[in-house]
Amino acid sequence: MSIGIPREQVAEVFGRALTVSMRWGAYAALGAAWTMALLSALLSGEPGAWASVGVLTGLAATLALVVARPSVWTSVLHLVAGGIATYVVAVLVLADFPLPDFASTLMVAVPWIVIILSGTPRPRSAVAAWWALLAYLVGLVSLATATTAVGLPWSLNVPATVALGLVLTVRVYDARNLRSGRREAAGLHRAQRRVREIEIRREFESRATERLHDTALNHLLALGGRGSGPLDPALRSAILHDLELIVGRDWSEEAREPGRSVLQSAVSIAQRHGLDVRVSGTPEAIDRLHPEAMAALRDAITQCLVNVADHSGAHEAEVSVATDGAELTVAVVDDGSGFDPDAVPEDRLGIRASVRGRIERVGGEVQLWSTPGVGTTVLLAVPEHAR
Amino acid sequence: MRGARLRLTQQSVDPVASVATWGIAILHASLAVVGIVAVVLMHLDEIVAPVLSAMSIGFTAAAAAGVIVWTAPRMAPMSNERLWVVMALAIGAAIAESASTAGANRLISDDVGPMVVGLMLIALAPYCSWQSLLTACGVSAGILGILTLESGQYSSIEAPPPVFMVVAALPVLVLGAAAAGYSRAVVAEVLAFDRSAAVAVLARDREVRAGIARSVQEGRVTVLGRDVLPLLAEVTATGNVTPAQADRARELAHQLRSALVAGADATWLDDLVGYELSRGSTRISVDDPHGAASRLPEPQRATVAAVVAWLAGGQVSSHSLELRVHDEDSGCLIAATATGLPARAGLRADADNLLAVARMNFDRARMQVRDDSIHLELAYAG
Repeated sequence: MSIGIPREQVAEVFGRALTVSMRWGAYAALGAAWTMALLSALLSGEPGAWASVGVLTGLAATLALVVARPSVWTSVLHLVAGGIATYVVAVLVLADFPLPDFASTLMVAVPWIVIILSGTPRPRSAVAAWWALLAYLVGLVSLATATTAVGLPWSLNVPATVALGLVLTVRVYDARNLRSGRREAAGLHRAQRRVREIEIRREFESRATERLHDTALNHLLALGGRGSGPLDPALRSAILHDLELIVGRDWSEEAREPGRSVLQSAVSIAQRHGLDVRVSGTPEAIDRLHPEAMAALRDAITQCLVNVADHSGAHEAEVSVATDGAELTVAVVDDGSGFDPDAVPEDRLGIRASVRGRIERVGGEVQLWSTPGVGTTVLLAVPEHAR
Repeated sequence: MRGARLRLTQQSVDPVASVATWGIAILHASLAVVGIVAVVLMHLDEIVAPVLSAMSIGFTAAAAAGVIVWTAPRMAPMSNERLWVVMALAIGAAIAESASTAGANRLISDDVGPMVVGLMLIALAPYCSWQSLLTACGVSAGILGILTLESGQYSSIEAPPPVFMVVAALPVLVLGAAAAGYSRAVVAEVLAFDRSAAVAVLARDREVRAGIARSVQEGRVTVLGRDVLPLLAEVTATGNVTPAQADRARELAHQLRSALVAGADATWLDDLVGYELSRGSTRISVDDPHGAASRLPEPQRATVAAVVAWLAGGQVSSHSLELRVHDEDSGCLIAATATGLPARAGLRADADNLLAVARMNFDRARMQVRDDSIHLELAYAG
């Protein structure tokens, strides 16, 4: 979906579109006139009809020139060619059909309409309207000369006048009205920028939430849960490590530099929590992921293993990595106490933010199976080309 | 993808501009009615079946009414079926006009029926794809050309029949081609702008991301720096945890968890409202218990943001704005109710314009405007 062109570009964009539109109309008019002249020449064999084919071909050539190299000079040349074509066609047609009101019909006005539609060298409507008016005057003089030449009275040509009226109407409307109605478009563009900024802020807020959950919150819970007494050296080491992460590092930089081996990093953190981890499958495949996906997977695996260490009662877990070339899957399995996934309180962020949030942000998905007393399996799947 | 692109219209890619073109659609449709009435009056001496003349005026008026009603902002989007109904009526008008002078039509080339068909195509150019317009143009030109073969026999002009066909079809061909050309060019222009805008957005994103990342990190570290970080530093420095520190850790954990959960539960809509509130605009409330607003893709979010800014910001300045978001299958329904609207000229027109944009971006959009309130519903199916 698009929300349209901003105010400052409207004049150029719609001016160009209207110019193309009128050229298409001119092509159709010229094509039809040329076909009529050719049919007349072929079916009647009159030399005059071939003259019509000739001047219309010349007019087509100058139209091609205006389209290919729009300039004041090529437009002037096109108007001159149109004036000549209008005169020649009108003289020939009126000589064949010397009816008093025939000069007011479409039969004599097609080359004239062609230049009204396609004369402008500039797409801007304010300029194009003046060129249409100039083209009308050129045709007016040509037709008046032609009617005089064949001895018929001058009469207003309705189709050419209607063509001028239509061109002026849309050009003036474009120049004045289309721009004045753009206030909401400007509002939409501002809104789009605002939403984009909100999205980006939300993404970083989510990352911050995950990071603080995995570090500060987990440590506070550990301190509160273990009560008073000497600080466990492993916990002290983890807190010091994470304090450096929180205070001393650029959080976004860290995400782009996931480290040498993703799984090693996750396993070493789990080991600090007293968990033995067995790795199987093709763990090296993780290191081929996009850095964003790699970092997300590393942190999600780490959180899964920390959950096992802190909550399952199990002393070991298995991490199994598999890939089919399109998707990389990591299964984190333990045979601990398990839990009822539906009974997890809504204020628990371990799975929701630190695992699911991270994986879904890089286009992956998370499945979790757990049964009390049996154990837990978390399946993390990430597209191999995910960012 | 290519097929979808070929079906695009100005109304679908730039809904606001197609709202602005409604005026000219009305003008062209009205011009067709005026034209056929004028020509019927001028050709009274050629009319052999007055009923058919009246029918030609009636068909033209019906086609014009169709154009005016179906291109109105409140009726967006225009469908292909509606285009063909308008075309059928316009072609019917042209046939009736031609038949009304059968055997007495002297010039053929001064018939206005083909012009009526062409004007309808021009009026519909911002609302239909160029393919539909070109097809409608070709079909109408063919019908009118064939029809002329019969009436050409009675003309006072002697010309080969194919010439009559081309003359009769010429207004349709010229105006139809112009309509199709406009539709194709304007869609191409808007899509080209979108592509360049997307590149600019990506470049801007990089700058914005760096700034936001920094501010988020600083904000979080500042909050943690008040209590959490000092406590963690203390216990690691002493290697011992006192009962008071353990209690404090539990208390801080509870507070931190609550703050993190509140942040995780919030959606972009909460953030948007927070932004509007920070600007001191209208009192705004959001009721989105299941976070359904997060199901909206970014373009639809921009429309909602524009609606919120319009209703709560300087342009309308309602007294209060209530946003309710409901689950709806895989999508959601957003209901916005603004009350306490000050009397303002042009409110209705602005509301219609915004509704037209919403109708293009949502599966369902409806709005009720009362004296001092506006209720808007936007449904996205997902």
